[in-house]
Amino acid sequence: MKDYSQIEEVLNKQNIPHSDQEIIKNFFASFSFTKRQQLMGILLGFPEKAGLFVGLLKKKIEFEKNPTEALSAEILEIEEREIRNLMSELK
Amino acid sequence: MFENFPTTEKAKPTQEAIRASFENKENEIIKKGTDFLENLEPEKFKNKVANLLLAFSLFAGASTAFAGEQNIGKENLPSMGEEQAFQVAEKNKIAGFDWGKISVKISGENREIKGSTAENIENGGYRNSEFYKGTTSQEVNNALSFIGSTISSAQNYSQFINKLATSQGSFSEKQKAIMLQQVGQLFGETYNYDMLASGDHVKISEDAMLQALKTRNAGGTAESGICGNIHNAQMEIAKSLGIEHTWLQSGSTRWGGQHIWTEMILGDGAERKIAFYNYGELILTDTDNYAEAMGVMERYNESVSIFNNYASNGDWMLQPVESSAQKVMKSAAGIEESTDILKHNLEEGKIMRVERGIDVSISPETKELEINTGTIGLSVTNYKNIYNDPYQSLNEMTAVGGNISFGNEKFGAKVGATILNTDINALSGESVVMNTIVGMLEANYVDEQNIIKGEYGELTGRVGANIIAAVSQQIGSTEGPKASYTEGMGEGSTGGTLSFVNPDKTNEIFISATAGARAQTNNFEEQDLVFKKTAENFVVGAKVKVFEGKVINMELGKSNFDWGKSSSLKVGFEGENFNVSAEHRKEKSDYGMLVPSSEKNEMNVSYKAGPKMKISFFGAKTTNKYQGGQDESVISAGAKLEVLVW
Repeated sequence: MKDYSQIEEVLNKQNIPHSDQEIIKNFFASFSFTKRQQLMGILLGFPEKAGLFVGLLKKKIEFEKNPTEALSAEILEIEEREIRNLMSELK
Repeated sequence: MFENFPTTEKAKPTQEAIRASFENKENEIIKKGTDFLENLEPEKFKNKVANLLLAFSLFAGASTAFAGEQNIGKENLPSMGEEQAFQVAEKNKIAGFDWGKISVKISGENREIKGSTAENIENGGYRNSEFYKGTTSQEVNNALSFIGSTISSAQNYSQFINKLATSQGSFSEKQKAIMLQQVGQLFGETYNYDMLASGDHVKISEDAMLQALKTRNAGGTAESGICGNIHNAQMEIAKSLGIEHTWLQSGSTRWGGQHIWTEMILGDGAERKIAFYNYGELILTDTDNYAEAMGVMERYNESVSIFNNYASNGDWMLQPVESSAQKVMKSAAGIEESTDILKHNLEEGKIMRVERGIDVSISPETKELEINTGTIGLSVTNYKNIYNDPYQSLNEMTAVGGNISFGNEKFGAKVGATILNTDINALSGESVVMNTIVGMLEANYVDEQNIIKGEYGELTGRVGANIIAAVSQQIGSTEGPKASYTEGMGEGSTGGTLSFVNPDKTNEIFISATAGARAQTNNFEEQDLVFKKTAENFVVGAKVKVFEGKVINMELGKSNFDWGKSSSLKVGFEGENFNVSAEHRKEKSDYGMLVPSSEKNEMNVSYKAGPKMKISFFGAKTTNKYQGGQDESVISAGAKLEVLVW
């Protein structure tokens, strides 16, 4: 069982600003207990990626408020690059 | 005039179209990652990068879903809730992925048959790898294939159980153990955290449990129940597979507090051992002594439960069981059996108080100092596992307690609190320091009436009652994972004594009867509170003054307990400055796997060295025998010094 204080510890260590930490908290809070535990596991497992996750979340919220093709392309480019890099590391 | 023709300029996509296009493209990107993972060689999953690829894929989808929720103006997000639970596979840093078929591949790392790869931990207390030695990969595959196909083909629970029961003769015990690991692992992946968070303890139907198992076996996502439901299902499957002795036990863990797991006896003859299943993990002890096996499990769980150790196979109501560590901690916290306290009060005809003064008790493992003013009592107890007993989960314990007694000879109450600092010898090799506070409340009543007083002697009746309630609060380890949780106990007893004393008060004959009950939960799924009758004691005794100042006394006792029967014979000789007594006690257990039948011979000698000092020595030999096991003898000895200083 993961406690949210563990997430706060990771976010603080990664110097994630407090306002951005609120976004992450809302993100976790919007899922059921089980899925929240799983998502918390992701962040705790890869604390070094906290900045990437927070950045993507902010862009997606911005995109949902004001969807533009430019922002869509920017987000997709980040996600594709990340997945591509990880796949190539595994080959 | 020229007509105005519509222009051919391309229309700008709407926001909805941009969103839809984004989601389609993102799904394609995520799919690339998950398709890649699906086709990845199994050994590559040991690489953290594979976990990160899955994690990122899940996060990408989840974050888009979250952003969409934000957009529709959802203002009241659910609160974070109380998140105290036993986490399946907590030791896996990114355990718990449960979204879709691909995630099964990742968690497959946990699914390996741990017994075939785990190292011996120490002292033979934990021997998974030894157990599976000699099992061929063909046998493992046959077992996994059979259980997988039986789960997937079963139309309903009875069909599933029947298939296991009719086929179990074709499999070895080790193959059955592998099947139970697989079932435990799959069930573990259906753990229902929402049910845990809401504190629901309900029975889940067998068909609903099977349905969750089927879905998970097919790679899907499903939620079944919590630890009690899951291990109950695992136990029933073990029964169907022909495992004769299997049951559930409750206790506690360092990570999440109260927990329930499956237990069984595996092996025959000298190879007969108690094994534990914690979801998909098999913990095989090297002992068939239940108290010893409990010590191994406490070391695995890195926690000792003081009041929550019960066992049941579903056919009988939860039966209390006790480990060595639990016994040490209960004693240090001043928790005694309700019927024992009442019996002493009835014997004396008044509420027994600890005498004012200082008591020092010393045995090889335990040192205890008590200071009593008659109203206030303070105690310090230190226990050390000096023999490095691998079945004793405590390395060391120091307990500091205090109590206040008030009332008169008929009514009395005692309130006490003890802080226990324990150092647990974890199987991981870690030394886990835990702190526990135990609060205790005891109320007593005794009344005495002369029924007949005449020339032939005096007949006196005594009635009494005792209630004892206690709560322990685990306040966690000093570092690392910790859980704060509460356990409680409540017991009550009532009874009476009739005693006849001859006119010159040289002879006394008495009979005493007491009965006790305990508040406990009824079963491991619903966990409703019930009162269970725990003991009926009947004692006949006599005291005869043989010559001035010297008394011979004798007591014959018979008791029925919720775990079995006992009979005892006690003979004593009292002088002005000394007291010698010997007791023989025989106990026959009805739950021979959990509570041993035993025979105990005990000797006590005490000497009053003046009006303010008393020295006592005791020694005992107990022979325990678990059902189907060998005789085991335990010899104990100790000394106690009591000094009246005020």
